[in-house]
Amino acid sequence: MFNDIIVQNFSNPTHATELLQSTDTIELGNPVCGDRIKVQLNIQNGLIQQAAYAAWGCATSLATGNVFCKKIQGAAVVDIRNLSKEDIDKMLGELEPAQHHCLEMLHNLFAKFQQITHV
Amino acid sequence: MSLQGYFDYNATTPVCPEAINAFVNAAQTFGNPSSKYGLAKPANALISEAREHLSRLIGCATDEIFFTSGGTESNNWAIKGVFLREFSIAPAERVHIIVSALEHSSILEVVGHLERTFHCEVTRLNPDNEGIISADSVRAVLRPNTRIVSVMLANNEVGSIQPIWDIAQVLRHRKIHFHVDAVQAVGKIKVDVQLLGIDTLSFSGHKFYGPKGCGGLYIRRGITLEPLIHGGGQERGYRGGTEAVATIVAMGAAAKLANEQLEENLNRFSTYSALLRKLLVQKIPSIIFNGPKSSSAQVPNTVSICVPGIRAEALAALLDSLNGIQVSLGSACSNNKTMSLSHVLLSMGLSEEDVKSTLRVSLGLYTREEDILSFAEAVANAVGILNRISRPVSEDYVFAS
Repeated sequence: MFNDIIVQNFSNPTHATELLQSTDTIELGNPVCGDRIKVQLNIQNGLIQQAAYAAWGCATSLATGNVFCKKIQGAAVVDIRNLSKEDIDKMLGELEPAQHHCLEMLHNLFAKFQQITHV
Repeated sequence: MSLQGYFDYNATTPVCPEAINAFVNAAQTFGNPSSKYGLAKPANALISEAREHLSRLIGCATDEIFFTSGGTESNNWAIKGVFLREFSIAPAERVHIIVSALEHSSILEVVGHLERTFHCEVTRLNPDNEGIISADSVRAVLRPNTRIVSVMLANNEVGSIQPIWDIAQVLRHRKIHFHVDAVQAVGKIKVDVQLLGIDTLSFSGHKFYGPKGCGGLYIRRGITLEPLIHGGGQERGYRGGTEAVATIVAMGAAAKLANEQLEENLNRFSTYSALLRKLLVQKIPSIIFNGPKSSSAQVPNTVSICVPGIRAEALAALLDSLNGIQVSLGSACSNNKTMSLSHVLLSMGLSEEDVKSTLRVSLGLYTREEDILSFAEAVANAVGILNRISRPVSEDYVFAS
């Protein structure tokens, strides 16, 4: 069973789109289940103006891409960099054991964000 | 209760009103069937009646039916019971067991246990790419010490019907016990144990609109096997434990109904399944149907579909959340480290990607034609959404909120 956050985000993925102009790209995959997420970012003057994603995988992975983009779009890079592990843990709501790999993917998305925005 | 979105009848079926009524009536008969006084007579009579309904459904004598707690117990009993019989006769002999790779875990886990604990030799036979185990493939792996062969009658995932009679001919006169797990066949297609030529056969009540927790094992006259559950001498000394009278009676009522409606249901499911395939091909041209190409080799209520490039787990989740539709999957994430892939589909030679893109649709007594139309529409819509997520077309495209 999926929680409301997951259902809302995979059945109504507001950020599943492609940016024609982007400044950065984050890509990651889970070698075990084969899930893949590609996020495009348009960062201008320290502000994440647009975030969009494409994904292939289970419902929770699809929701994860959208949750990530929804969280960062419109935010300042510095604010996203300062998110704590606890902040990120809460973003997908309560997960069943089989869905925990998606929380790992979400953490990896933020970790990659840290890397590409490192100065 | 709405069953419009229920397309998982191979997992379980709703209990039919006839079975519920039979259960309620039988539950008021509280006498222990093993007691010798008059109070026990009504319970015994009810069990006898249920046994008759089951024997008519599968074409055997009433004394060849043994009630159990369900398909898993029946399969455990058949395999372990024969092995223990053979072991008691010749403890030094290493028994060879042949099972199809299509089998349910209640067969595969049992032979795995016997392999580990008693050092049995086990051959797991892969089907062809349509999910069929041929008699020739069984013949090719026979050994002088082969004592048990187990092949299911109908597969739960792709609906393939196995050539049981042909396999039985190969095993005949070789002193090899032939067990058939018919849990997905009994009540759905015509099953006649005389025509199949087998030794034991499992069935489960909740697969044909009876209650859960009740099933049985057909044991051909003349065949002996050790009991799995020793106890108070119930079921002619073969299966201990006070009979679950009301549950058995309810299963009997469901068996009676299944027998009466078998022909009609078969025709309806064939029509619906053909309609479903036609609609899905029209809406999703890339769709692939797993299983037998010939409809005569397939249980008509089962359709296994693969939509290449789409993860079935996400498709099923969308169908559930947007349309209230329930289907079954060929794969699932188990945890962070493993992915559970259908052993049935893998044994048929499907790639991992195709297994991940496969879902099973199974129709039942309460499926209506309009449900088939809605289902095809819902699948096409969900596939469209998933395609857009995996291949977004432009930055202008944003899903309606």
